[in-house]
Order: sequence, then structure tokens, then C-alpha cells
Amino acid sequence: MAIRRTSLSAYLASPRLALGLMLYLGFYSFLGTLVAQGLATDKSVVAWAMAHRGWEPVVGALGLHRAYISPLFLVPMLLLGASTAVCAWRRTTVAAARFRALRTLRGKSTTAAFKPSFTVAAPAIPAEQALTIAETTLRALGWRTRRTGSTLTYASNPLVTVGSPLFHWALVALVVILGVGSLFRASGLMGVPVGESVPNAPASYRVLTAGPLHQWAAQPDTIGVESFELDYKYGGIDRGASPKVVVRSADGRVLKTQYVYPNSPLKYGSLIIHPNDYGLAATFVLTDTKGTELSRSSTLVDFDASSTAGTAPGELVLSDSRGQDAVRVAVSFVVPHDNGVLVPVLPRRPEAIVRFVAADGSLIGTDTLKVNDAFKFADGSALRFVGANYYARLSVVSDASVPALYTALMLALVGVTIALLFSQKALVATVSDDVDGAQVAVMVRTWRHGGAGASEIQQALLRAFESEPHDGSSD
Amino acid sequence: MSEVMLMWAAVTLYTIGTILFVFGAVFKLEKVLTAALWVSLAGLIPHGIAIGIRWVAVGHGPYLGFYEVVSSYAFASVVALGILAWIRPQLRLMGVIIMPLSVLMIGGAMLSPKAPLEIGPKLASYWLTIHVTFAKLSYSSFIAAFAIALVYLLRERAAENPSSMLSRLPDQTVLDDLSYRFIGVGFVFLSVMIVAGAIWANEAWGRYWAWDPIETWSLISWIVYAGYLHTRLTLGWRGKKAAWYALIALPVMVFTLIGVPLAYNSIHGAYLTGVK
Repeated sequence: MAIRRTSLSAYLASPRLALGLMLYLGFYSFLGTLVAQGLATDKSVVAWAMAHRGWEPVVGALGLHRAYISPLFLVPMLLLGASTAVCAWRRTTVAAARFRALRTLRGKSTTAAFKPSFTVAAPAIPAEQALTIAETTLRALGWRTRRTGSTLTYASNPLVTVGSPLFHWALVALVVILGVGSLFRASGLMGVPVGESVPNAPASYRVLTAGPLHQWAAQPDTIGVESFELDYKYGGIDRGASPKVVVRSADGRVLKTQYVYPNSPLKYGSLIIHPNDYGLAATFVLTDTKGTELSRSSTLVDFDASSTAGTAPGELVLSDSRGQDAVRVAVSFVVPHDNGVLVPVLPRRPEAIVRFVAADGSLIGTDTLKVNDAFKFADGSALRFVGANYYARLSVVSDASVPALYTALMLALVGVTIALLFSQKALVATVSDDVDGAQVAVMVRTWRHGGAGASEIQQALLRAFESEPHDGSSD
Repeated sequence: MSEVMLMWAAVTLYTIGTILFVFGAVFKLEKVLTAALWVSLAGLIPHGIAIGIRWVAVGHGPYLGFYEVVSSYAFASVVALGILAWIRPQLRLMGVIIMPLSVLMIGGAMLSPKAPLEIGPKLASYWLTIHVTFAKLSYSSFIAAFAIALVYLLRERAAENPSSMLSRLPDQTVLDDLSYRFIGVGFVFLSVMIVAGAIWANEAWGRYWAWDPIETWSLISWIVYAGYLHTRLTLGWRGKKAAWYALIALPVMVFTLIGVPLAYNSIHGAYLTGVK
């Protein structure tokens, strides 16, 4: 088992594997940009498939329309995450050793034994003078050494060694947070007529993606829209259509309320609400044969530039006494146009165009209802159109992992900045007197990019001493 | 002086600088190269004032529309040349590479529509400044690395010609290290740009990442440059290999910044095309 563990670890730590996975993911991401992304039923995906009939079978089979949640993407991503974790661990052990070495060298009295990278002779130069020349030469090369007796030392701040491990661990944390966060995250779109509130529950969402561990109970109880402005201005900028959103607790207490527009979402705990779009809401009252109100509900009608009326019909479902769907009502409005261009506003005198279809698909009737007009059914009951207003489609996201994600991103930035912009290097130079003059023994360690390396230093000292090296070895 | 006149003054100075750079490099005239650098840097003055005038007039930095965006990248390129020459005066020879690119960019900008685009509600955020600033910084770093890598490779080819102008440049190992350093700095800037963009996207749209073409291409650029650093730091790629990599990587970055909004239907495209 030990051998297997070692080989797996070595495999995952392979730089070539990491590089290969990165390039694969980059290329795969590029392929994803060439193909419409979304569900097979999405308009953009259907249009792409129609336009690329030759490619569609291959693209569909590979799942490229949902490229970034395809196993072809996720499995290599997880493998890269595992590879990064192994690399991070190895970098941590290496960094710890360097940290100790640098801390030792930065100690006040460096007496640590070292193996010289090279030795340079300074013929006919006294040791003290040779040390001064070496100090000046090294300074010119960017090594600001500390002089202690007959020794020059330089060591980077040991903290610079944490950069690379921090960066890699933060990347691992990102993968983990993204994975775990998706289990708790919920995001979706809900339509809320102005002046109404809806429960913050799955049934209220037109589109919803919720992780299996999402806690609905921990969220505000209702989401409402108090008012709506088509051209909300703030800070001298037209913010566009902006609903004033309110979130309430189960006991009806207002938790937070504000206008929401791009760059100004409503945030409450892990909840974040943005405006997505708006449309019209038609409110109807169902009455019995005596005119008593049985129920009241609103239907959401979207603007649709491709429709001659300017709206795509919304649907209202009327149930019978047993709770079965009895009648489906398609509702649309004729909205104003300006020179043939749709003007997405509420008509001054809204008239609801209604089309009633029975459960068996047969047409019951059609009508155009002004406010307070009613359509009477054969059994004497009636559906009365009581008014129209705007509705706001809200993007509602609940993601408690966002703060953790941002933290990981910040740590990654700090790590990569330290790793790439700060050098890790150490140098010890000692001078000793010889019969022919001074001998300067130099140990140079440059990890990552450390500026002037051993050979450059050796050449510079040689020039400074106008001498030939006694030992041609270099780091 | 109007903004357009100042811009044409910048175009003129950049063009003269380019001609002088080519002339100086071909005929190995050091003084001409120095003059070329100063003429090019002088172009930054009218160019900078023109950007400033427009900034005041339209109420935002050079963020929106092909004219503003591409012109500012030309500005960033010449600044990058100035930084290179400041670090190592011999590196002013990089102007032979950077200045023609800058002239192409500013020329393209001048030929494009100049009508100002208003900052819409989606762009009205302080994150815009952070995001765009780091985009320009990363681009500047990468184009500097690109120029150094190209010169490195040219000198490798001309190694048998000791009288070559290129021989007056710093040692190949210094060039190799400089190219790496610029890519390192650019990678940090690119990372900040992506992170700032993700945070901003969450504020603006309620999601930090949606695989929009520009987001995806930013990630591809990041991966490409991460690959460069990886090959260098773990596989020990140096010299020609690293230089070729730096050379191939830049077009990916340029395509991300300028090509993607034109080639793809992206919600990000508004910053370049003005189409919402």
C-alpha cells in the first residue's frame, strides 16, 4: 500500500500532469465558447443545433452544450485539484525548510556551517579590504548584505517562502468551496407583481437550481415588491427599471427593503436579490354564481417584441371543486409601439385578451376584458379582470459560500503576489587571509527568481579583484 | 486644442518614433534609437491630454467603445516601452516591436467611431475602474514580456553576427529573466483583474462566474500564462522555449481584450461595441 500511495502521490505531483490538465481545461473551455450553452430546449441551443446540423450530433453526444458541468470538464478539474493539493503539500514542506534556513541566516550571529558555491581569490588584497570590495560588488548586484566580522550575509525575509504554498492551498480551497458551496446554494428567478409578496419557497420560482443541502428555513419568509420605477435615477445615472424589494420574516417583520438595480442588489445574510427583467401582471377574481369572490390571483405576462401584440401570453389555471385543473386561461395585452418598435410599458387603459381552454383541450371562448369586465362560464361562475400592473422578475441567489470564496480568492492573490514578486535568496561570504592575499568563499542560494545568480556574482567578484577563480564550480 | 487634434499629434509622433526605431535598428545608429524613444515618449503627452479631455467630457475613463479602449491600450504599450527603457536603457530597442503595434492600435482607434458611450447602470460601479486598470496593467506587462522574448529569439538567430545591433542589449540571461519577471507581474495583475471582475459580476448580476465568452477567455489567458510560469518554475524552461511561449501567449491575451467582444455575442461586449 505504501508503494502505491507513493506512486499515486508522485503521479499527482507530476508537473507535466498539472500542465497537461491546465492546457486541456483551457482548450476545452475554448470549445465551450464555440457552442451555445444551455439546456437542449433553450432557444439559443436549438438555434445553434439548427445552424450546425453536421456538428450537433457530436456536440450533443459530448455534452458540450453544458460544457462546464460535463464530466469531460469536471473530472479533469477535480484531478487538477488533487494534483494541486499534492503539489501544495510538497511546496509546504520545501517552504518550511527554506523558512528555517532563511531565519537561521537572518539570526544576529550567523555561525551556521555552509558549503561554498565558489571561492574567489583576491591576490595581494588584505582580507578587510577584500570584504569591503565584495560588499560593494554585491550591493551593485542587488544583494544588500549584512557585515558581521569577516562575514557578509544576506537572507530574504523568511515569510516570502509562504507565497507559493499559500497560493496553491488557496486554489485547492477554491475547488473545495465551489464544490461544497453548490450543495448549499440556491439560485433562481421569481416574478413578483408590484404590491404583492410571495413565499420564498421553491413553488414561487419560475426557474430554480437548488443544492440538496440548501436550508430554505434559514432564509427570509417572503419576498415582495413594494413599488416599481421604470426609470429610476440615482447618482445622476438612469438605473433603468428598478423594483423596490422587501424581504420579511415569518412574523411579517420587514428585514430589509431597498430599490434594486445593477450593482445595487438587496443583500440579507446569504441572500442576494437582483432585478432580472420586468413585465405585466394581470389580476383576476374568480366569483361564484352569486358574485361572491372565490379566489384572486395574478398572471405574469412578458413583453415579446416578436409578437404582434407585444406580449407573450401568460397562463392562469382555474381548478374545479376537486382541485383538478379545469380551465387554462391564456392572458396577453396589446402594448404600445413607437414606429413599429415595442415600448415595454403598462398600457394606459389595459385590456386583457383572454383565451379559455378546457382540460380536454377544447376552446371555451376568447374575449377582451377591460378593467372590471368579467367572462362568464356556462355554470354561472365568472372570471373578472380587476386590473394590471407591472411585475418584477427577480434573480434570487442564496449562497453562504461567497464570503469563503472571496477569502480564498484574496489569499490566492496574496500568495501569487508574494511568490512571483518577492525573491527567495540567501548568500554568505566569508573572507580569510592566505599567503597570496585574501580568499573569499561564497555560498549563494537563489530559489525561484533571485536576481543575480552564482555565476554572475562570481564573474563580478573576479572583475572586482582582477583575479582568476581558484575554484570554477558554481551553483 | 481639440481632443482629435491632440490624438493626431500623438499618431504623428508615434509614427515618427516608429520610423526612427526601424531606421536606427537597421543602420545601427544608437543616437537615432535614443531620439526614437524620446519622440515616442513625447507622443504620450498629447495622447495623455487627449484621454484626459475625453475623460472630463464624457465623465468616465477610457473604458467604453473601440476608440477609447484600443487607444488606451496603445498608450499603455508606449508606457511599457518607457518602463523597459527606464529599467535598462539598452532595452529601448524594444521600440522596434512595440511602436509599430502601438501605431496600429492608435490608428485603428482613430478610424473607428468616436461617439462617446454613456456608462449604463450595469457599468456604474467603482469596480469598473479597478477591473479595467488591472486589465491595462496586465496587458502592458505582457506586451513588454512579448517584446523582450522576440528580441531574445532574434538575437539567438543572429548569434553568429557579433556586430549586430542586438549584441548591445543586455545578456541573454538578463533578457530571459526580465521577460519572466514581466510575465510574473502581468500574471498578478491578470489575477487581480479576474478576481475583481468576479466580485463585480456578483454585485451587478448576482453571479460571480457564468462562463460568458470574455470570462472564459480571461480564464484561458490566465491558464496560458500560468502554464508559462509552471513550465519555468517546475520544468525549468528557460531561453528559447520560454521565449517562444511568451511570444505565443500574447495573442491570446490581446484576443481576450479586444477580439472576444467583437467575435462573440457577450454581455461584456458593451464595453467595446456599445451594444447592450
